Amino acid sequence: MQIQRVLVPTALDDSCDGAVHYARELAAMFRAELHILHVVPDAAREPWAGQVVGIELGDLTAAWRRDADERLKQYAEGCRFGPVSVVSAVRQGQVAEAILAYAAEQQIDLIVLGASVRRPLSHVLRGRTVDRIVRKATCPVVSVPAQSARPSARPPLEAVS
Amino acid sequence: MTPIRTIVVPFDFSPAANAALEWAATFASATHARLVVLHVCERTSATAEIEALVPGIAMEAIVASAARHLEHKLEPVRRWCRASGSVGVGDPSQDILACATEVGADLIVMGTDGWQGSADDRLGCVARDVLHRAGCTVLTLRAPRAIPARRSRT
Repeated sequence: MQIQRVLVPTALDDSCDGAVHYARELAAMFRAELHILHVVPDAAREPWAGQVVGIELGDLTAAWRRDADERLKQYAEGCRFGPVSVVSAVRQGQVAEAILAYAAEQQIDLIVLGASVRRPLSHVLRGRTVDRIVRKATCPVVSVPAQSARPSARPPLEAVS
Repeated sequence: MTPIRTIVVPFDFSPAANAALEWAATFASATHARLVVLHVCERTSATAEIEALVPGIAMEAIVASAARHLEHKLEPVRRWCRASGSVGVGDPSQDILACATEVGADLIVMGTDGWQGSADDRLGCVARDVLHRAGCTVLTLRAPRAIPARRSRT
C-alpha cells in the first residue's frame, strides 16, 4: 500500500471542511501530496439552460470557473501548513465524472469524500454521487460522515510526530 | 480527524474482502490500530433447508467452520497488527453497523462488492447499506483484479 497522492473534492464551503481536514491529516500521515479539487458545473447542461436569453452560456461557465479558481486558491492557501504539499485544481462538468477523471489522470491513491458530496438532506443525490465514485474509482474511497465535519479538539497533524 | 484506534473489517472471504483486510492491516500497522474482523453468516433459504433437515446443528456447523477459516486468515495479519475475529449470524449490514457501534469503530474498511456483486463496477448492497448508514468513516475499495492496469505516470 503506497499512498502518494490524496484527493479531496470540495464545494468551497464549510460543508466539506471535515473531509478536507481528514484528507490533510491522512496526507500528512503518509507524507503524501494533497490534491484539492473543485468541480464547476457546465452552464449549458443546467436545467434552465434552454430558457436563458442574452447570455452566452460559455461565458457564464468561464466566469464561474474564474471565480472558482480565485476562491480555491485562497482555500488551498488555508490548507497549506506543515509537511503537506497542496495541489489545487478546478475542473468542469458533472461532479462524479470530473472527480473520477481527475483521479485517473493524476494517479490518485485515495479519494476522501465529505459531507458536501454525502448531502445529509438529499439522500438520492448523495447516494448517486457517492455510489458512482465508490464503485467506479480504481483507488480506495474514504467517506467521511457529516458529523465528523466538526473540527476535532485535538491539534491537527498529531499523527505525524 | 480523531485518532484511528479501532477498525472494523467486514469479511466475507471474497477477493474484495481480502483486499480490504490487507489494506486495513497495513493501515493498522502504521497507526497502531486494532482490527475487528467480522464475518456474518446470512440466514438464506439454503441454510433454512439444511436447518430443517438437521435441526439445531447446521447453523452451528457453518459458524464453526467460518470461525476456523477466519482464524486461518488472521494468522498472517497478526504479524502486522492486533486483530480479533468474530462470526455472527444474521443480517450482514445490520450486524456490521451494530458491531461498529459496539466496538466504537473509528473506521470501517470493506470491499465494494462481495460474492453477490462480482461485476466490474457494481456496488454491493451490503457495502451500500453500510456506507449510507454508518456513523463513522467508511473506506471502500475494489478487488484488485477488477481494476484495470494503471498506465505509467508521464
